[in-house]
Amino acid sequence: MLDAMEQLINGLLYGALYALIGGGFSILFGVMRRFNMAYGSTIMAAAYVSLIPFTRFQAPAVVMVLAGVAMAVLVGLLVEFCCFRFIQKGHELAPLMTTIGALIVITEAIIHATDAVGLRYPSPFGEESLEVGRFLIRPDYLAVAVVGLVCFLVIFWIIHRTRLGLAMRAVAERPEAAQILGVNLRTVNTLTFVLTSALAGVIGFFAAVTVGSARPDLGVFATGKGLVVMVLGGLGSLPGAIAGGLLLGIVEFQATWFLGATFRDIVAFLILFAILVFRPSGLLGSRPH
Amino acid sequence: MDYVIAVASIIGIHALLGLSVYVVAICGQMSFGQQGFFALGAYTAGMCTALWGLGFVPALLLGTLVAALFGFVVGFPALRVRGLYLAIATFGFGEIVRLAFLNVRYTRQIGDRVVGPNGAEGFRHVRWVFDGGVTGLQYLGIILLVLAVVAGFFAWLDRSKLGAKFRAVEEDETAAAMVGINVTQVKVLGFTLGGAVAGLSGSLFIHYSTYIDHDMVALPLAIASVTYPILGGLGSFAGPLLGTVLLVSITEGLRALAELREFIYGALIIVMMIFRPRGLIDEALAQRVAGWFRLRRRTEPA
Amino acid sequence: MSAPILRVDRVSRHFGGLRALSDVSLEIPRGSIYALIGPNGSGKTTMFNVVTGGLAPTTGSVTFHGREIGGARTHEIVRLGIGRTFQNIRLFTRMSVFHNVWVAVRAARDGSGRSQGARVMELLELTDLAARRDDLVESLNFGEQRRLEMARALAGEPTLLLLDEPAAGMGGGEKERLARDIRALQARDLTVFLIEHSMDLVMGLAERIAVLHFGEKIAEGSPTEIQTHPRVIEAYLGRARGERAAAGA
Repeated sequence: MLDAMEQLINGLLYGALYALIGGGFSILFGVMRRFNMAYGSTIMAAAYVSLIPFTRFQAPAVVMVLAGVAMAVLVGLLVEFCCFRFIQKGHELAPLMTTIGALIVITEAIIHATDAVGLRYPSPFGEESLEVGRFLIRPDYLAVAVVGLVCFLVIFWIIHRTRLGLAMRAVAERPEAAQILGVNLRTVNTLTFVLTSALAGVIGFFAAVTVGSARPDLGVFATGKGLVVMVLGGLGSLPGAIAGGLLLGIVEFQATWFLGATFRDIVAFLILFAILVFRPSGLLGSRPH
Repeated sequence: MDYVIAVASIIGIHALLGLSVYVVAICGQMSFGQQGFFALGAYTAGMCTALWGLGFVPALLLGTLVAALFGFVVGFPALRVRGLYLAIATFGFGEIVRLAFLNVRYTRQIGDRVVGPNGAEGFRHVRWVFDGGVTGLQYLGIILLVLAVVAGFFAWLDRSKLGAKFRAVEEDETAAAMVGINVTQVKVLGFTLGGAVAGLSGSLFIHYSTYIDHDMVALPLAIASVTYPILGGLGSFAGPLLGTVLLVSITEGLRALAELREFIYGALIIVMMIFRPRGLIDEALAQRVAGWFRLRRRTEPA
Repeated sequence: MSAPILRVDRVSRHFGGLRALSDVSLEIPRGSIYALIGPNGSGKTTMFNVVTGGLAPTTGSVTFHGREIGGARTHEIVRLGIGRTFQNIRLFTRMSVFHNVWVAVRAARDGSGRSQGARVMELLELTDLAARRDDLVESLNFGEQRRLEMARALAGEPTLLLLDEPAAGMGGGEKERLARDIRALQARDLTVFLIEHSMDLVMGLAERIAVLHFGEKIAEGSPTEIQTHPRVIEAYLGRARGERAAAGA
């Protein structure tokens, strides 16, 4: 019983990572009404690049994160330029397919550059589990949850308390009306990409830390989890992404505890499938387009 | 020469897979799960010849039929989702099939070998080709014959009213319903046909390679199967054929590129979507070509 | 007096809290030209969508040739004999003119056995598009596209034709031609039910008019009756004019 509770707590904390991934997907979908399938590979690129300051210069974690963020923003802008800017109207599937193409291209590029080898990641939060009450909590999971909370607070602040956020919300609701009122659509789209990419940089670092290495399947992993969280929480809903991410973390850890690690991914897929078939609008979101 | 036969065989098999994505796509559903039907056909047909002693043709038929059945079943929940969600759901289906075969064990001792789907080890020793003394060239002939028949069916479909109904549904479901088209029927039929053709492809494949495992029906095959019609074009059945020929011969022919295969496919998807979203043979081109044939018929002496 | 071809009986359609249609009843006489008018957002297109099966009525019933069709599926309703054009043209742009109509024709009702291709050409000739038969939709101008939509709507041999703002974007001469075409359809035994904003077209063409406002039917009658109806004037032009009209009546 104690162990199950402990799994629950760890699952909840780890779920913060999933919530962040889902959050990044959601924000972009909310503003641009399009799904960026390349987001997972942006996260992956950040994870690998943020290793460089460490291996070369023994840099502290903060510098690593900054490097990751910088790389992610670069990749994100590249994706925006190649995959979103020039799409002809009237082909609804085209943006989806271009970002899938970008996902493949970026992932393969990284795999080839690193010879498909996973690279060991440092654990800046210590190796020992913390004792909180009667439970053993992994310090890196705790760090993820704390950082995740901070990130979400920053995001909420940006969206609800700044002009950019106001513009983003306007574009998310009524793009044409927002344009008429003087919002520069292109600027908002680009800045949204910058914001979500910066988030991806943070996610990349923590995803690699919690797993212990930067792995070639990180892109697919992040994409898969992001999709499940989005579907769980509802497309474009930020609170939904948070709830969905935490829920997925809990469910996965419980599944691992009771059924073993091999079933973890099957469980995620089955949930995905079930929700898509029975409740496509997710737990909290609006009807998908 | 053997190498050419091998590449041609793969082209033939993959062309069928490309056609299976095509037929689902032209009624408006982009399926990332045809590799699942491929696997179902392959495992079923393999079991027919290697475990149950059935002939090759019954094996093909059964493989096609089982896959078609699953296509029919998948077609219904597929109605409820579209676009990205459909892509996810179909890929999810493909993964569920793959993971299922990863865990299935159904083997029998035949002679000195353990034959049958064997979990992570896959399904080996499907030796119908060897036992029957069929050469590589002869099997290529079989593949091309099947492909010709299927392509002929699709050529008919493209020009038939049913094909026009498919395309109407793809373009505008509301307008299609408003001209009396039963959209549900069309979309489920699309999935059923797609499942059948993919299952046929898989049935041919397992006898060609004598072996299949879960790794071969994962994401890379999904990507390839979708890229064929996207590159080749959605305007005509010739599109996926063209796409398969181009992609497979380039990546197989230039060995150095084989490693970069996924990278190339991804880049091609991006480029095609920006510059020519309906592929090389798009509807406009297909209709222009059809126009030439019409003109020639009209000017031919009575 | 023959039975109405279409009967809308106390139909309401809600979207959550929004009442798009409230308790609307209409009877469309067979063989007539019947118009539905009202300010923007009054529920006219919703009414069309309910009749053609895209939406089910929240309450009430719709009967066509005496047969209940409320909530039935669109393609079944179409096969019973209703055709429709759309406000924003919804042609199949990746197909040719010929194919757009061909996909909509069905086996001839009169059992004459004329081939479907011949029937398509008949319709194209009727709408003056025969010369464009192999052209792609995108090469058609606006007027030609509207005519193609009409040809396509007629392909299923409907007995009731729903026209959603057929005069939108048309100049005076084109509207006259449209009115002639609609009367010609009436002469071929079709009942025409149209939504329109163009008052000169409606008043000159329709035999009976119903007026919707915020989802409610506020008036129904002949063109003259509608033009002098206080509530109609109020809906379109504001309360002051409405009251003046009521006082003057």
